[in-house]
Amino acid sequence: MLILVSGGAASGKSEYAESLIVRAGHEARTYIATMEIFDAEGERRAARHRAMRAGKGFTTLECPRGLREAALPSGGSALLECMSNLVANEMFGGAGAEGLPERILAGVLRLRERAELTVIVTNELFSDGIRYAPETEAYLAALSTVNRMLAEIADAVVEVVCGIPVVWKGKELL
Amino acid sequence: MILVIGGMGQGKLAAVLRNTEYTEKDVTCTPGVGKPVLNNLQKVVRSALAEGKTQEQILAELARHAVIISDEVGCGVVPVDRFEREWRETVGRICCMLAKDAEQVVRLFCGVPMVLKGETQWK
Repeated sequence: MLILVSGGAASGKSEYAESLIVRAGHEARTYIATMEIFDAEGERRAARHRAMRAGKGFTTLECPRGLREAALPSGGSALLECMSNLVANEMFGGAGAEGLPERILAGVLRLRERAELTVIVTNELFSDGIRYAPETEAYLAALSTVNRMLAEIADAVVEVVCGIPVVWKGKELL
Repeated sequence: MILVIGGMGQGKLAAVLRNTEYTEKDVTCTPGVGKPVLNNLQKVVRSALAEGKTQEQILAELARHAVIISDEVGCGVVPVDRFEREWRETVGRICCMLAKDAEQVVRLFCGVPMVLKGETQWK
């Protein structure tokens, strides 16, 4: 099963995504971390997330790029966070924009095949009406394409608003 | 009229083409040219404001379209630039007025539609 969780910054989407994993009750739980840490701010963000996950039984797999080739777990549940980082890392520090959505999709399909439950956290960045530099616009286009592709193959799609899940797809599964 | 909204890149036009009788040849970005589906309302408003048109004038030009598609543009910080502020405000206000008149309002998120107004789904 694949569940896509999205929402704005600080909307409570991580906590909700973790609760899906905990509720599923698989013993093996892998947290696929996609954020690269460059400074103290990044370290603080990661520490906040680690504290939130503490005691929930997650093993962490660092995967800032190359999901398709990663040593993904077999069985149990997997939480990938966050797709917006993975796409940025692929685009600006990885294999680039060419064929990016397809590469990500292949990685996710592989993850879905191996894990019993896969939860992917992504980000809602598309309604601010601001026009950005071309490379940023290209990033937004790539991430929105990835989000649509994932929603298409997902069993459930949830937008988290102020910590409240708004279910767009698969209500009966949640 | 059906109003279709959602952030950029959420699959709004694709959903219209999938769920209505309209095809790509029915789609335009210019109001009042006799095509039923008006795409990118946010761009239409932008150029109309640049030409000095008022909100009422823009709204009047939209009357004949069966489907109007707009990006939602209001979820960011208030723009510093006066024109950007006026544009964002006008897009939002026009969408509110269109939604009031619309038989259906559909919102797209990651390509998934949610009907916000109306009994029947598309046509």
